Amino acid sequence: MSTVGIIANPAAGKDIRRLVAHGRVVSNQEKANILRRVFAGIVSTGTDQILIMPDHSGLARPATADVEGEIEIDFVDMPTADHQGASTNAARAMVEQGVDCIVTLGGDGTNRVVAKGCLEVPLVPISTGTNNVFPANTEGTLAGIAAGSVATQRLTRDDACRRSKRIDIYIDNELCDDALVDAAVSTQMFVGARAVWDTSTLHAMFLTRAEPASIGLSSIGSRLEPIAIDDPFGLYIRMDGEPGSTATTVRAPIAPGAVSDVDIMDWRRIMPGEQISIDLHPGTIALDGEREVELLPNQKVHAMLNLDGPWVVDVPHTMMLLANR
Amino acid sequence: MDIDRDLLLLMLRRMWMIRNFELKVMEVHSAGEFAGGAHPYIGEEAVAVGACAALEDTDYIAGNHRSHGHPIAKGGRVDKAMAELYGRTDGYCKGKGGSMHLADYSIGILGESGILGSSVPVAVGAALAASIKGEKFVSLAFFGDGASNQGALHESMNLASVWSLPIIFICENNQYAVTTSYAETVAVEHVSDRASAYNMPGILVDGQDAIAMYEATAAAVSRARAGDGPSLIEGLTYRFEEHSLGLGRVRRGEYRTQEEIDTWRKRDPLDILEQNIIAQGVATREECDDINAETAEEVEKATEFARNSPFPEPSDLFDDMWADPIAFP
Repeated sequence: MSTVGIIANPAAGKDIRRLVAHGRVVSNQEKANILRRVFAGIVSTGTDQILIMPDHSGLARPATADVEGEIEIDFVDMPTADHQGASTNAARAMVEQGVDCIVTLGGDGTNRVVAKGCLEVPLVPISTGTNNVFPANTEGTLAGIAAGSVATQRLTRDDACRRSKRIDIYIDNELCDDALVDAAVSTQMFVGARAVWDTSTLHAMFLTRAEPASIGLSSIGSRLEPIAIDDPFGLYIRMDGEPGSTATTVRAPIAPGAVSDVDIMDWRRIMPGEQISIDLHPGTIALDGEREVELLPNQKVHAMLNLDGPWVVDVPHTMMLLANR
Repeated sequence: MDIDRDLLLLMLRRMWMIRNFELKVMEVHSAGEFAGGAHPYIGEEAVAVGACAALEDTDYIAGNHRSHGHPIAKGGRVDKAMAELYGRTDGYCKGKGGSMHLADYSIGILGESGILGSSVPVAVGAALAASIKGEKFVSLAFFGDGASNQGALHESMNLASVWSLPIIFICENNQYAVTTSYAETVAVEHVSDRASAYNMPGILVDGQDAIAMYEATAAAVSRARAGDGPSLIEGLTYRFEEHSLGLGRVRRGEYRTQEEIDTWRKRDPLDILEQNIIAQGVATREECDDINAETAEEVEKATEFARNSPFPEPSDLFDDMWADPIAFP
């Protein structure tokens, strides 16, 4: 049986970056419309089943009612919850139930928590969040066709996907959390309202990728050295302390509607497995744009690049492969 | 926008003051020491305290029927508040208002109201005053998820946006309007989603985290002072107690599961703030406990003050009114 999972985060794109920058607003009505398009694309591929994360707003229900064609539609049997753990739990449950591909609606933050549960199952991330490096601005119908084509094995994972990377954060040598795009060390003491928008609070950054056409903190790295999703290395940037031999200043779009000049003290490539210690207290680490980890006294913290991030369906490439068949 | 030790400890003190005030109110109300309703704010302290920590004394707030937390968060006096609940002459409104009328204009507390949504236009009026006078003060309106369906709120948000007024709308979404779930009565997923209809930014914040509420409100206050107009902040929170003291008389069956209540009680806003500041070495466990004990003692003294204050005389009834009602035919 071929199955596509759906994880649509109803809380994506609602954080403080709508006050301190000009983060976009995608209404839940529009998210429901995107799901209608995704479902139409999936149905067209002959996929047997769509398996959906439930949420208490019933985001997907209007779309399920409008599906035309033969397909089984089910909801994951799990309680609804208004916190990010729900998306991780949904991804885990979907993997256990044998989904072949998962379509996500959200931003970098949503995909970060889905990635904790999806293991080797490929993602088709559609952008409805604030910073959108990991998810693409993909039209829903095409995302549905790509997801269905992977689920029905018209395309293999290796043909359709690229493997992304992670930055793993270790506290006292225990894996604590990870980022899919950027881990930013901030001098802000608390997680608080989560987003990082003031570059003067940046102490250092670790990037898995740095694409010049991206928005968010990773755009800073793209001005130093562009790095693709599957290049086998990442970037370490130090913003605090004394200038080193590579010190420079770059102008980058660090949040929607916010372009800043950022002073770089030092930067270099990082390789997988290389441990880079984070010596800052007090402070926080923002993972994919949101402060998640508070740096406490007497902790030994380090970051490490990991090449085993989630598989991501390359929708334009997938559509090209399908067209050539 | 980092937050210093003094402000963190002030926030903790005000949160403990509210918690201890409400615990005392529940105790003395059940003992029959004063009449009338009261709506405990326990569980929601981080919303008002985090928001008010981003304000100056010269800024204004207007609260709602859950009416004790907002004025205490703004720096109001607990002795005058308690005396008002007891209906005594030393109360904020000389004992003639009760629980839902705690006002102190000297520090920007415009008062509260038992009519849902009705204090929101009052806060907009204060913001209009700032705009007309060309002054830099801002205004902040607290309302709940129930009031988010009231016409007065929508008219207020529209007018505030049309006139680009310096106001922050704060929805403390405790998820129940008395016993009615917001999920069944609010057409959008989050109350903050409604901001886009009024051309203002709306954001969703963890209402159990006072620091998050402070950061969000500080950002909205900066916008307002800069002339960039209103903002809507939704603090997702939970009422740990029943809607009001004495609700048992009107309740129709269970409306929240014990599992849900237990889950939210694990996210006590006081625990969250204390854990944060202790972990970062801002204060010790003992210092936090001292703040709790000091505020409990202050509430005890406030209660004695209220008990010893005289009731108003019947002849005081028509004092402090805009017009003499006896003069009307």
